[in-house]
Amino acid sequence: MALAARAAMQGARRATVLLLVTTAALGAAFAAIKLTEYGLDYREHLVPLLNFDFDPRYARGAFVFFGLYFTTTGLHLVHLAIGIGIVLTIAWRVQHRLENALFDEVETIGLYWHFVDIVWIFLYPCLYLVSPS
Amino acid sequence: MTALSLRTYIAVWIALMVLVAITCGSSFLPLGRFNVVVNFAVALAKALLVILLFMRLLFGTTMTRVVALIGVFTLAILVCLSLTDFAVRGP
Repeated sequence: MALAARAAMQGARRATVLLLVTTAALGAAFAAIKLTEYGLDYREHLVPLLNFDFDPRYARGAFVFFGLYFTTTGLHLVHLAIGIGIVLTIAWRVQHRLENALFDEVETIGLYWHFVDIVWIFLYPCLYLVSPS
Repeated sequence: MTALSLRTYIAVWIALMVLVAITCGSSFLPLGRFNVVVNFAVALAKALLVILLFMRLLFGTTMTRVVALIGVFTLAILVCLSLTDFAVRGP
């Protein structure tokens, strides 16, 4: 994404389109991994309200944790899906020379994309790196 | 408008990957409370790299920086208010 904005700044139209499509593909790969993980969670009965079965000694805490886990990652996933849609739309607009201002458009979606990334940077230690210690 | 060199972008990407390795690796070490400290220090470093270089805040106007800081400050207030509940809630 950052490289796409750089290419747009330099007016390199073809590189911009290629890098935007790559960005969308990487985003889609992330979403696919995330959905696979949701599937595994479901099979392990970790989805609150829908399919939840946990060691009763820790069930209350686990219920809150997985509730927060699905709320935060789900909201992140929705934003990612919106991002992929807009990135592809702008790639299409640049490809067909329909954009109003090349750098501004790519830079703006770049800011959104990086913001969603920063959210993930903080979600990752909060949700994935909690050790039993 | 200054364009950063390709080398800078690659260096930032490598730095982000190294930080992921550090944060992920450190979670396997039993550091007690310091696990959390390390994780959030690394997250902060990663966020700063993204904000300052990828989002180009380092080259932004003072106004842009002020607006970004207001966002961080507002979020900090919300987090603090949430933590008041966490701090006083009984067992």
